[in-house]
Amino acid sequence: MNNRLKVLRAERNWSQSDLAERLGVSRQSVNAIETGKYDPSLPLAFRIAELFGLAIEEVFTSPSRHQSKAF
Amino acid sequence: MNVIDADGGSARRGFAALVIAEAVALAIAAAAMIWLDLGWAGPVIMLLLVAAFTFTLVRATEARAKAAGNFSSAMARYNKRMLVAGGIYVVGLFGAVWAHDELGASGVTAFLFAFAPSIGVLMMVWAMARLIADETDEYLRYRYVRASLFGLGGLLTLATVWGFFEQFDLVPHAPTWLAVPIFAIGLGFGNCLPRGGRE
Repeated sequence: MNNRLKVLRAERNWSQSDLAERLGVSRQSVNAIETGKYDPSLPLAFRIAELFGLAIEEVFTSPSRHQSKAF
Repeated sequence: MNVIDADGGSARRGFAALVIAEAVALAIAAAAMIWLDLGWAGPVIMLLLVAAFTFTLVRATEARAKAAGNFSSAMARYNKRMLVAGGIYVVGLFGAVWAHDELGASGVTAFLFAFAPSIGVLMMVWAMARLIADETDEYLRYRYVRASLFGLGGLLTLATVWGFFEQFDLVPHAPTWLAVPIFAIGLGFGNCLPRGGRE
């Protein structure tokens, strides 16, 4: 699952620690999600989207959809 | 980002240096105790040294986890529980050995003495289970579960292979109380698994 976490965070000038604190998770969790090493659960994905005031699909995109667009 | 990486690298190097220094210090202390032949005082001094080193190591582990951004209150409670369980294990083990040698025992009493060292180890197993149950950070919990599965897989593999080797008289008998230490070693390796790729 691809995401725009890094961009959204940079737009707000938040560090990974800032975002982690706002979400109530560890900095390593934010890092793992941001770098695509870990896909968050649906509740956490909703929390992330709500924190940025966006719909979940505006933060996370399906890799299959991404691939199909490429074709 | 570079600052974070530099801090993380420094913390890792510091931690590795501490582990090596403590291992060397313990080896020297053990050799000195054997050479000085202090009787019962030798093991007691060694125990105190191990306890002090373990405490230092736990604090260093916490500092390293904080630097890496993966420290949680559940991990803090886990560390405290493991320290208490370790203390109870040492008291139980030495108490049982002393009682067995000095007092002698049979029947139910012998079983109670033999069970004493298990109490601390069972508390450690409970602490491991509580860590997974208490952890509210889903990514950290995922990592604990993954490391636990790695440790369990390693233990099952080793026990099966060793068991058959033993059955064919190829290796000496291995005591089954080694199960938890082997699992813990696997757990440690599991924590070091590369985190690359999709998790």
